[in-house]
Amino acid sequence: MRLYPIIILMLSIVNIACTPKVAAWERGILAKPHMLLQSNSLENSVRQHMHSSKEASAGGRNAGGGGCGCG
Amino acid sequence: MQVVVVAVVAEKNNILASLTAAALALPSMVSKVNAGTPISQPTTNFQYSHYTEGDERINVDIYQGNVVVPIEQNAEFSLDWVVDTFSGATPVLNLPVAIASSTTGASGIDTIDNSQIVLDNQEVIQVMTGASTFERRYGVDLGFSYFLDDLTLKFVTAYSKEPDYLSKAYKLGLAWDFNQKLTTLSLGFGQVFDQIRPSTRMIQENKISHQVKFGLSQILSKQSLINFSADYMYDTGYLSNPYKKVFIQTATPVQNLINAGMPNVFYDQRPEVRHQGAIAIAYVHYIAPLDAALHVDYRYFRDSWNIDSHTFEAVWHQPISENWMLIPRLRYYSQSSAQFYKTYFTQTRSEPYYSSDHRLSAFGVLSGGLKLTTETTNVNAWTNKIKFEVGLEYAQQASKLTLGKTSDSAITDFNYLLITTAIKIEF
Repeated sequence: MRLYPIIILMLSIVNIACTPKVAAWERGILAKPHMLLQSNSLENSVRQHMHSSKEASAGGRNAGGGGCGCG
Repeated sequence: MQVVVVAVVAEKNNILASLTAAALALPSMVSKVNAGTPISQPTTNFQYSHYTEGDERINVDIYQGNVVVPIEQNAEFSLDWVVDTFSGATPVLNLPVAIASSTTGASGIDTIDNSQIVLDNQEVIQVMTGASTFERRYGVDLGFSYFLDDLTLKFVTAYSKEPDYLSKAYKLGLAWDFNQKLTTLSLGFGQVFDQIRPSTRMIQENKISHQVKFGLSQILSKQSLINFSADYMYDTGYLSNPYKKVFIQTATPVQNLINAGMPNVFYDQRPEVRHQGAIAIAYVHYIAPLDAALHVDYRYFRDSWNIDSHTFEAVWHQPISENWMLIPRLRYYSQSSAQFYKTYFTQTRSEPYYSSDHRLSAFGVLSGGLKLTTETTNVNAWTNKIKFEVGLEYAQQASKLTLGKTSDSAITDFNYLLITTAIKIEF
């Protein structure tokens, strides 16, 4: 199954990424509106609509939030 | 290859809208499964977009809005709606000019000249629907999110209706923050049920789409984060385009294909199963000296029809004063063609699948856009924030922009422009 190497790669990166801890009070930059993975859902929706009506591909949009845990 | 465009007698055209109703439902269903906290005050958005293609060949006006309302401390309810109107003409058939030109009259192509032998890579005429088509679509999504400490659960149901297409969908999503909220894992599952009743044909067909989604976002540092996602989609049922036609040079009837009114012209026919997979990576980095954010995305897509695609996108968010932001973007997309796609067919295939729908051809798209936003806070006693946005995006779609080589015809080439204006109010 081709997905297994990808999942292992993702988990490896997460493992590496987890080493430098960013404390909750150090996440101010990550909480800025322009750091969000998706900043305007209506705009994303119309753009995805446009692309999916012209192109044969689907999926791949961000499923998770910024994960900044700022809230 | 020379391209000639011919307008043919008016035919009901629902191509753009009908084919994309389900596609529209899917992205909205898989949009956001954000772990986090619910909003504390209601918000509402309204957006108007105008899409225009080629020389005003297609015009679409899209009105959208949404309302998000908090329910007590740990839940929220959302309502999204869309009304879009489509007008214009789209291609339905490619014909080698050698067999079509001899019978082309003022009212369009009535028949074809079967005495000619057609070879590959001949000059092509693109037969269009009439230019007077007008159609309206209504859609609504209802969402409910429930927030636990590190867990967010979301349920969305969607409904979309137009004269020849009905789409119903639901999606379940879960997002889990862990690793001191440095990491978010999200899972989603959804189904879309479509009913297709083409206005020009006496058929009624159904289609079901299933989607499973996996996402992982990770904080890398105080100023960067990354997101991975993987999607698997399984479509079954009627996956053809009921309005599209193909020319197949053959002396005998083609097995399982339906004649579309002219000799050797048949309705588009695709497999009744389609497996699709996509993996994507998104990286966001803060550039401190400019207070800017750079977003870089890549997606790889592959399906069981032998289409694969690459999408690259970069977006720069640049604050230009306290309340103003400029957002330029660049996007490049390239896909290979489906195994049963050809501009036209000079002979029959071993499998009974044929399509000349340009969406299944090999092409690339290069687009660029610019958006300007401004916001005002503490507007009055009952309005906390108002944000305005205006943006435009221009794209060129062409076979010569395909990554690698392609022999597909340049007949599919066109340009389009998208203009959006939006207002967001936080109470």
